Amino acid sequence: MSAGSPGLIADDEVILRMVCVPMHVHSKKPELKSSFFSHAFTYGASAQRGEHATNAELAQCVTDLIGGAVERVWLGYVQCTAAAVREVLGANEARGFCVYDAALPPRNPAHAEVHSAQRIPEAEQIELRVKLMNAFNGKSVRGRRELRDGAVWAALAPDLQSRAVALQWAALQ
Amino acid sequence: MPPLQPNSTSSRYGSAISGFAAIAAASCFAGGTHSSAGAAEARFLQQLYQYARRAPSSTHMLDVDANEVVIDDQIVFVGRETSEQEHLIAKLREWEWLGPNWDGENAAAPVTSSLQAANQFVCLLDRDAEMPEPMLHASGRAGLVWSNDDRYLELEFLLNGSVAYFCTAAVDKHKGVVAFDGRRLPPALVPLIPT
Repeated sequence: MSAGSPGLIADDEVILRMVCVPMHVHSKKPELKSSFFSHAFTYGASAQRGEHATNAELAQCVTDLIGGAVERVWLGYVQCTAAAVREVLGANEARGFCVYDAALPPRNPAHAEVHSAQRIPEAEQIELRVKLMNAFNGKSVRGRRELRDGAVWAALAPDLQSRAVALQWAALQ
Repeated sequence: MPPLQPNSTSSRYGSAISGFAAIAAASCFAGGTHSSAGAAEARFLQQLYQYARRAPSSTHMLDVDANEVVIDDQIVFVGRETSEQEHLIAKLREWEWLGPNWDGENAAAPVTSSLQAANQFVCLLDRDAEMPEPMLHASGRAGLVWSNDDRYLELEFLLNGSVAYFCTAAVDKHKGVVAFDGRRLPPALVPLIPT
């Protein structure tokens, strides 16, 4: 556990993952592709602990993800409980993923990571990635203004708010 | 058909450049083996490909989207818009230019061989078939996915010339790794691919 961390992640904690890379969204509808979760098999997929992150920290997280890359835009977010991630099972009913505290104080103390729980053979990775996507309800990306009734959106810098969302994803606007 | 020549004096095509679609279309047919392309169109696309190979990417003067290209100072009507298949190929080729950290989360640089294998796979699909969505993973590997109410099929192009796949349709589930030589679709995948 990191210094400055809120502590271990309880099963009933909600974790969020921000959708900021258009390449990870279906080109015709606001649904995620499983590539959005492929970091879980490399260095870990970053997420935010909903109960511990302040609005300003969430806005900072989005700002860091978008960075100076003009092609990136905050489209929305997906969320689920830590238990939903931990309940994803792979072959032989073995746990597929861990979700754990990865606090990055002082900038992002509510940072968490989702990581594969074991070495997964290539033939199994896609299925597990899809299960993880389904755990986060990836077919229903939530619009960026929905998060905390727009408070995080309001905390975002105007130049980042002004980045356009493609017409096919207008539901996320 | 006369040899394809760049026309640098064309006011209509001299500035608005949309080379990706042209190159994508041409490279797809470069081998001249696409089964559903007409012979004339295949010849044209081969010429286009030869031109695209010679021209730096920043100076393409062809715009297939406009349904017209300039050949020997003459506007030639291609007669159709860029297909979904060609757009998909263009997208995969475009991704080859990305560097590391293309997602802001320290993703690896795209693996060219994986993207090219995905491209070859797309070229082998029937032009009128349902096209997949392209994917780029944090590992830099490319993937394709078909996702609709009836079926989910995802492919990932591995580094050893093979393809990992996962498919669910109704109560059926298929997964595994198959070899892909770039010249024909792996037989095990053919019945899984939406038509």
